[in-house]
Amino acid sequence: MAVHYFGIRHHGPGCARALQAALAELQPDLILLEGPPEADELLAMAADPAMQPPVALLVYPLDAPRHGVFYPFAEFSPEWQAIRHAALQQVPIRFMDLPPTHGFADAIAREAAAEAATPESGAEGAPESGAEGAPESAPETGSEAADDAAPLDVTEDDFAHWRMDPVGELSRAAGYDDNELWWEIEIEQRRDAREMFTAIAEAMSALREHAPPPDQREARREAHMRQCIREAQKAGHERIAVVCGAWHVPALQQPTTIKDDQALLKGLAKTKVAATWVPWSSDRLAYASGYGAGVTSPGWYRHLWHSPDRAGLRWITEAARLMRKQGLDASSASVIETVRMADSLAALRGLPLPGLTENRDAMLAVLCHGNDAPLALIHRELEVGHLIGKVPASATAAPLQRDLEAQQKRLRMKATTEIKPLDLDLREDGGRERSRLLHRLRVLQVDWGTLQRDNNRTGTFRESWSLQWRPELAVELIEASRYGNTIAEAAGNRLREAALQAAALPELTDLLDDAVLAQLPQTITTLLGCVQNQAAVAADLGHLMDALPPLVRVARYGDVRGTQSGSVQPIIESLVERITVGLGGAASHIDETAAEVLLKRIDTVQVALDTLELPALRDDWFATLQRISTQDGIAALVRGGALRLLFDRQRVDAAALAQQAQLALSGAVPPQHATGWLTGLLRGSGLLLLQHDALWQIIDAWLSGLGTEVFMERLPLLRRAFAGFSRAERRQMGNKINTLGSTPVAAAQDDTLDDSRAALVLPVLALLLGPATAPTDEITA
Amino acid sequence: MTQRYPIHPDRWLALANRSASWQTDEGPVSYTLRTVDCGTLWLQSGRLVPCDPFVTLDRHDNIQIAVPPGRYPVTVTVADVSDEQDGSHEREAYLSLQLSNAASVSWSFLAPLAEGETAPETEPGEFVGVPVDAGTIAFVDADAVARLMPDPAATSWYEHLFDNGDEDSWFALMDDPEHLRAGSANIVLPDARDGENLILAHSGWGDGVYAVVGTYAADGQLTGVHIDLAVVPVNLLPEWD
Repeated sequence: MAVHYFGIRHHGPGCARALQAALAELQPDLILLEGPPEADELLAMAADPAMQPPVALLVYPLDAPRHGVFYPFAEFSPEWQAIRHAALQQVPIRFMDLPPTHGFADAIAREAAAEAATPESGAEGAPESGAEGAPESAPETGSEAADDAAPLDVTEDDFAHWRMDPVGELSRAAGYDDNELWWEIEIEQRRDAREMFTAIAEAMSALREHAPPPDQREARREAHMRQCIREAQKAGHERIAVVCGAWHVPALQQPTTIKDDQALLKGLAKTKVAATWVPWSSDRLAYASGYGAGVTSPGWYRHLWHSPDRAGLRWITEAARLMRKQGLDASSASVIETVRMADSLAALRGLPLPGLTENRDAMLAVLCHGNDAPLALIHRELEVGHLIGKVPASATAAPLQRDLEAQQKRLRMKATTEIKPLDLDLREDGGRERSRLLHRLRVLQVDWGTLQRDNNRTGTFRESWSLQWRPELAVELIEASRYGNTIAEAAGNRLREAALQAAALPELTDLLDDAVLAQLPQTITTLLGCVQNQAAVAADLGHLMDALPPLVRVARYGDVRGTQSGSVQPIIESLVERITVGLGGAASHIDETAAEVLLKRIDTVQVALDTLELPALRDDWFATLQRISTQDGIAALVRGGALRLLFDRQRVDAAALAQQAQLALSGAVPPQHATGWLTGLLRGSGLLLLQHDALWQIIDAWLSGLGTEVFMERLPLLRRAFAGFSRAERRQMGNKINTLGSTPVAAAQDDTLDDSRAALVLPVLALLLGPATAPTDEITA
Repeated sequence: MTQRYPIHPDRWLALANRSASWQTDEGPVSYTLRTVDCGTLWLQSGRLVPCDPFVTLDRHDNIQIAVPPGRYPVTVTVADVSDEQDGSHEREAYLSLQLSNAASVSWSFLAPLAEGETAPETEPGEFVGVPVDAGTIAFVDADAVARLMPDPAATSWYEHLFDNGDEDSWFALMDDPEHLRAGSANIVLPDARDGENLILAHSGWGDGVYAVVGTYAADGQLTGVHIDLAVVPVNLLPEWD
């Protein structure tokens, strides 16, 4: 009855190869592996040909999936080789680490305690303030919980210890500056690994003699592992292979009493736990994405695993192929030179073979001609890579996940870890369905796609997405599972639940926006009901104004997406009615900051109404603007802004504009009001104002009339009023001021039309503007 | 006598058929090839210099290959290496001097050597190549270079010819898409009285040592001299595959 200990490094191809050979030689009758015992049943699935690493075991508490932890495996992970060996040789295999359920139970309890400790702060006021308040008021609990719930929780920690401490110590003892390099040379590049595990165990024992004792969690973990080994011995296994992080080996070999171990493990809290396999990705194995337990270059390790012979040559050839694909120079001769240089570097550095560093240095010098950019490409695409694993369909836990996979397959949307742009044409069925899926996932907070704002494309029938799959999204999916078993059902329920909690109108209309984009007709009906109820009682004019744009989008998108927009119109009408009634009051006697906010809202209402073809509504709105642009007591900024909106939409002619300017900028008006009015008026495009000399002359006269002191005082605000214009506009304005009043004759000449030449463009104009809008006699007159 | 090989379909077909296909680990690859006419090269002395015009060309002692004197058409064979085969990514595969219209049936490596040098013993598949260090390859007449190029000790070729800022500098001509195509040029040598010229092209994927290949008609007559820029993979060269 013998126990064989194999101290390994997670994700080390050299260790993996050595372990593979050692297991083949030992032919164990039981393998005990460092890992979560809750996932024991899933281990057999590793033999399924559909299982392709990188994959990860996801273990999560059923009540709070967000606390779930991942145990990732690459094909070059020693643990994966042990699992494969067991599956293929029909050897029983069990995980022996401390079950994560205890950690989850603690984390959940701490979270509950943190919530209980701050009941008032979140309950009062709007829900958003509560959401912001919670993490701030309990940072300590939050970070601790995050610590426990961090992916790779268990494996990460011991690796961190090991890497920071033991390997560092050993490599320093061996005279190396670089810890990784020492391990790489002594362990990973070793061809003959027969005595390697014994040597690792000895080295670790020597180190642990001088190391501080493990903390409580470490001690518990090691106690649990020892218990598992004892049980296996008791069950009569003859050749037990124990595969664990090298750091633990001395602790597991150490003679301890059953009683001590039991005492350590007594009374630990538990919670219900589920486990599943999820696909993992190579960039998630890498340090680059922020995981401590990763390897810097999974692509290189995978390469070493697959082609141990002439690894450097093949690696550099791959790099050259990649560069050529990108259109970069990479000649065969450069490849040969690079290989030679890497070999020479290895010889100079006294290494048996060129490692990643030698290959990288040689590639930078020769293949990349000293240029960092292609090397960065090689790092991203080769050293890390975009490989994403696969798990058999039977391993997928949540029905929601299965539904997503089915839809991904049907819509031919492959989940990759590269950031991929996706342009959708919503006039086509395929585009619409893809957009629908992405919007539904967004509602479920599974952010596979991010909607891109493309200023060049303003059409409503286009959507640009940026897609990037991250393995953690599997957790989000599991989290979202509580809302339903299909994506559509879950998204609808999620929105409905949010609607019931939302108190303010703008939030509701945002949800409505989401529902329209996600094409959830039943949810839209529910949400419209909520919006209508809220709109009827909402007192805040700002909220009413904020609610309008999403509703208008509902009406507008109705055309492209086939949503019924008819039911929205009555709500919009009632909203606009209440806005027009309340606007005058809201704009009276407010300070400049409040006026700015209000003016922005007036703008959004204007844009919303511009997109709707409801002339009666627009007329009402313009009448309101007309009123507030002249009414006393209304903030000057709002008056100017309203006038500008009216002028831009030809509701006020140039003469009336000049007249109002004369009044607003007259000497009797206090300078701060005049400046505010001017700031409001000058927003937006400057080109229109450039055309109106009378207005310019009034502004010029007003400015010239200001006293030096007042001028200096108002200058920053005036500058700001002009800052929004483009450089070209400002230059033209400058020129205009220079020539103002001096060349009226030339201006008049410019205005005369050459009828015969103008007639040439009329057909085109008629085509562009539509036959009704461009009567020829009006233009030529 | 260097060994002559029959023209094998998987490689030299490219020169004649304007397409090349082969198998790799990742599946079949197919390139479309086209030839670009670069005009004629005046080989008054018949001593053909294959070289990197910006690095290895000198006034004297250039490596050379003997051909019958005359004016011969030069072409560059361009391979479309893009995945889509839409012409979006092209690389030069061969620079060729056509000596005769007779059908080629065999080929051999030619050894470009400086005068007085003797060819080293080569194993089958080994060759004496043309070194390239500025990503450019050229054909020029050895005698014309000696007579017409200025003394580099007195006049910097780089500043006065290659990159002098004028529209007809060698770099400008090479980059000018209107001239032949971007990447190839037919350049009249300074003070040429009889149209003595140099014809250059980018060297495929970049720097390296490239083989010079002769093609032969059935009667043994040399039909062409080609610089193989190793764009179409060569099963003869061990480390390339």
